[in-house]
Amino acid sequence: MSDTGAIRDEVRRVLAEHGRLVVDVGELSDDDDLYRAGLTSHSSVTVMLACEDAFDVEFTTQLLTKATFASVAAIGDALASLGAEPDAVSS
Amino acid sequence: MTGSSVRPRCAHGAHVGVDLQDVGAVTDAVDRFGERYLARVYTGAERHAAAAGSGTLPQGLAARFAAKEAVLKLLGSADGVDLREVEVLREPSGEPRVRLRGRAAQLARERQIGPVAVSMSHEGEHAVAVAMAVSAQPETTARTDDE
Repeated sequence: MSDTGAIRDEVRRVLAEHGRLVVDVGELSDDDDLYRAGLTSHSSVTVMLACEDAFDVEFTTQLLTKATFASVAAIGDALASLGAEPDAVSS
Repeated sequence: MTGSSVRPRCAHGAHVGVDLQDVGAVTDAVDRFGERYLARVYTGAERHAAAAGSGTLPQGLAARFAAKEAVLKLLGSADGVDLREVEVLREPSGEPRVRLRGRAAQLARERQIGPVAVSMSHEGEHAVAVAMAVSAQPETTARTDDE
């Protein structure tokens, strides 16, 4: 599995636990709109915190945008830009 | 409760935003992330104000989160804004007061938005807030009564 795939898998785990989505994250593609799936402004905060814990990174202010949390792929890209690595995933 | 990219604008230079926040979600965030969540979202003054207000601490925090989001909707964007830059304080009278800093203050200046007023409420597992401000300059495309 590629690093991108591993990161996105962890993002999906985080979303399942903290996203408070109205649909099963397994039903979403990597590019599906998470806000249409029920992600709110508040749950994007908890998803961010959980991703920081999972990957040992910290989101910069510049990444605190609606687009950053718009999809599994977008969150994964943001994490990759912060240097997140699958090996750093902590349970 | 979902973020909206549409900025509601009233005629005559008035700006408004509203948000509804689930108190349980705030409780869960505090339980799960503790100080990291609190320090990331709220200033020390806000945490003190939330604790001093009526209701439970989670209700006070949820109301302030709703107020922050209402202000961001009023400003038209939350992008690049640290939530602590929209500070919802409490006057001795109990009246809330909004202080904008950093990127939030910059957005207000760019859009010529004057002082922002908020009103908050909570009951049970729900908190709500509305924010309002007027433009420093009147709208030039306001709909007339003849239209």
